[in-house]
Amino acid sequence: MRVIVEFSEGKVKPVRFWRGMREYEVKNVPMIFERQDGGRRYMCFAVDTGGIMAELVMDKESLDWRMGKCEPYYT
Amino acid sequence: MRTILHLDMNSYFATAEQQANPYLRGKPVGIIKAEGRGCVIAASVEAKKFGVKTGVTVWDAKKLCPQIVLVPSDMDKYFALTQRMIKILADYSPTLEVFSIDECFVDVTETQKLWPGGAWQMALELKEKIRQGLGEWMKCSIGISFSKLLAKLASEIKKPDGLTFLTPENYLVATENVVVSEVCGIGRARTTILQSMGVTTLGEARRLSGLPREIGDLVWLRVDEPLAAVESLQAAKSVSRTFTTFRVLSTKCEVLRLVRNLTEEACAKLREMNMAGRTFCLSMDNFWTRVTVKIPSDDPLIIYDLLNKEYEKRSVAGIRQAGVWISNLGFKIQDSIFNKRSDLLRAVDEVNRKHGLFTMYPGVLLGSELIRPEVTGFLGDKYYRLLTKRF
Repeated sequence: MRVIVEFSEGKVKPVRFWRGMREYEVKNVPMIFERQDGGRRYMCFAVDTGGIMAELVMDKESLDWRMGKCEPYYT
Repeated sequence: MRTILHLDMNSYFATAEQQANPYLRGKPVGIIKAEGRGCVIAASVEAKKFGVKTGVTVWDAKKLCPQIVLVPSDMDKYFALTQRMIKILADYSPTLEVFSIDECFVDVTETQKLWPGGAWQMALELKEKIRQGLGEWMKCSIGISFSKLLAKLASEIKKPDGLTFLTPENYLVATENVVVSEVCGIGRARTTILQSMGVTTLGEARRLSGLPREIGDLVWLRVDEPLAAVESLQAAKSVSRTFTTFRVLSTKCEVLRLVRNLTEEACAKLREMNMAGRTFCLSMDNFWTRVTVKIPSDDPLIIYDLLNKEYEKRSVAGIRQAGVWISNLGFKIQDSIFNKRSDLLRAVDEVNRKHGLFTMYPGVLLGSELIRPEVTGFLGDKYYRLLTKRF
């Protein structure tokens, strides 16, 4: 998965990502937290793209990105 | 006189989900354990207005509030927020007690002197820090008083986003109309006793004479316990794992697989805590057994064999609930040098710790639904979680 991130003040923040052929712009990151699976630690970003809410997951070791959850808005 | 501050996050799990997903904000949200589960484990402030409470069935919740949004729980998210909450609180006093996943007591007797406005100003600043650190939607209620019991009660008087001060002068008047069951220590049994006397509020209870001393102390809010700081936490007395299946398990083979899975789970937790137990208990819908042995064990195979023998004596099927309890616990000091299985189990634990859960597990469980470790909001295993620096 391709993600463009911004580094500032020692923090990383996703600003744009691609899912399939579609490009999404991150409008807001309401929550950042960490998950752990075995010895691996993942940084999770709950992102709001204005159309979907997604959870972008970054492997802290390999810096690989994947999509954790993806859900449309609840109406 | 001590000054205790009690911080309680409002509708914690539901508010955390609303923080992560802004489109849930202002909507009634119910947290369920997992997709397809039948019970609401937490409700948002909006859902509570419709009468949806913790523990109601999904069926009832939908009847009370048809527009309720049900979200599966995500404990990693809540624990991450709790860690942040503890970190913020630790800046205000070195003496704090993590009471549960969303509640903390802080002894601010000395540190409040650093704020010109004392504990009140400190609490206002703390609320702001929580909002900045956890998210703008995260709200907490704070109670300040001279004992733990009163501080907890004070935080419950005004919800959500409240701040209440109970002083030695005003606490009796301010708590006159508090329902007896809201006092920490007055549970279901004591509430029933008081209700049978025609009492529902603290004010009414105080007018009674001849109450048992333990209840009287709670009614007059005279109980004053010290803070259970991390160093004084007690080690776990038992470890258990229970599970409710999605469908009825109709064969003996299915039942035993579930028991094995639960035993594996409980033992993995024991080994992580470096403990072993002597009493093993198996409970199912219509079955209960307990075995006590001389030598403590944390080996799932030994424990499962013991429970299996008991089960075979009067096997049952057609169950939906099962639980394995291990008690009579003690810290593992030394293993027998001839026991090579403990090395094997340690190696399996190490593989799973490094490469993730269920990388290695017993072949007998192949093909069955694997039950993930249980995490709840109560933190009954505080000793292990806090002392081993998991927070």
